[in-house]
Amino acid sequence: MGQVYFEDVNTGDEIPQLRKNCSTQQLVLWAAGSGDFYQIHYDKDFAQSTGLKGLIVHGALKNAFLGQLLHDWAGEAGSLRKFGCAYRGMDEPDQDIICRGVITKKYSEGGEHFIELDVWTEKPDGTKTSPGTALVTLPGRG
Amino acid sequence: MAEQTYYEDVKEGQELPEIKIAPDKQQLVKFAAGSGDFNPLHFDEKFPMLKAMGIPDNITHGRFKYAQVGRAVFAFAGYKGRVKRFGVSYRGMDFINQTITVKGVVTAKRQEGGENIVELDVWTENDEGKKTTPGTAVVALPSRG
Repeated sequence: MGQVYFEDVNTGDEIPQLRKNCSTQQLVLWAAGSGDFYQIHYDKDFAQSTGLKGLIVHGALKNAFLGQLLHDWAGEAGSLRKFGCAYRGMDEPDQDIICRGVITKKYSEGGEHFIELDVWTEKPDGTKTSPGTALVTLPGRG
Repeated sequence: MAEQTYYEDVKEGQELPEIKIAPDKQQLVKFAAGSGDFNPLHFDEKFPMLKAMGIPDNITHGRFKYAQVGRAVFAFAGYKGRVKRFGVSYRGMDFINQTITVKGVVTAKRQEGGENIVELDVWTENDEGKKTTPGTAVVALPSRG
């Protein structure tokens, strides 16, 4: 993927989407990597016993997906300065999770070029499940 | 911790203390994490291969059972003993949430090269008494002398 430059982006632009779809195995791998072995992420009977409809995707995994979205976009010469999201809705395994971002502000300060974005994960029906914000620096063409 | 077993106190035919364990899904997922064996056979009840092979439920990792048998062998050897050889084979499936009983029996004892050698048959058994993970172990024990 080519490098994106500060001059080429504008407020309101949407960055390229990232589409994810987690298998149960991916959730178990995430449990292993993160140390979060809470059973609602891989034990259907346990999940249902807590009142959930079924298995749900780890919030921190969706946070990581949004991190990938931003890093893929900012490229080698860009950097991710600040990023966070809130876990507002549940996602299920074997269902698409669409990671999206929109530029809300661009400015230059102290010789650096800053971009602010709203980012979120979205279910196929359009519900935003993990809304957040990010601050990214991009290189200038100058 | 169990008391140390000494060579003089061991008799052929002596049984090892049983260990019973019924691994739940979290335990198998943690074993996947620790061992690196992430085959979905062990934790995904919808994994298509289970149905294709006619397997009714997630199956317990063979190496998990090996590890449980290992607990019995190492507990028998104790702090002062040494496990010289230990192996099992995977002859039958065990399933998630089903009890595995680890058993062992002393088959021979002899002194050899200044060591006090004890041979064991060890295995896991399912609820029907079928040996699903039979194996053998050779342990060197301390002497009271």
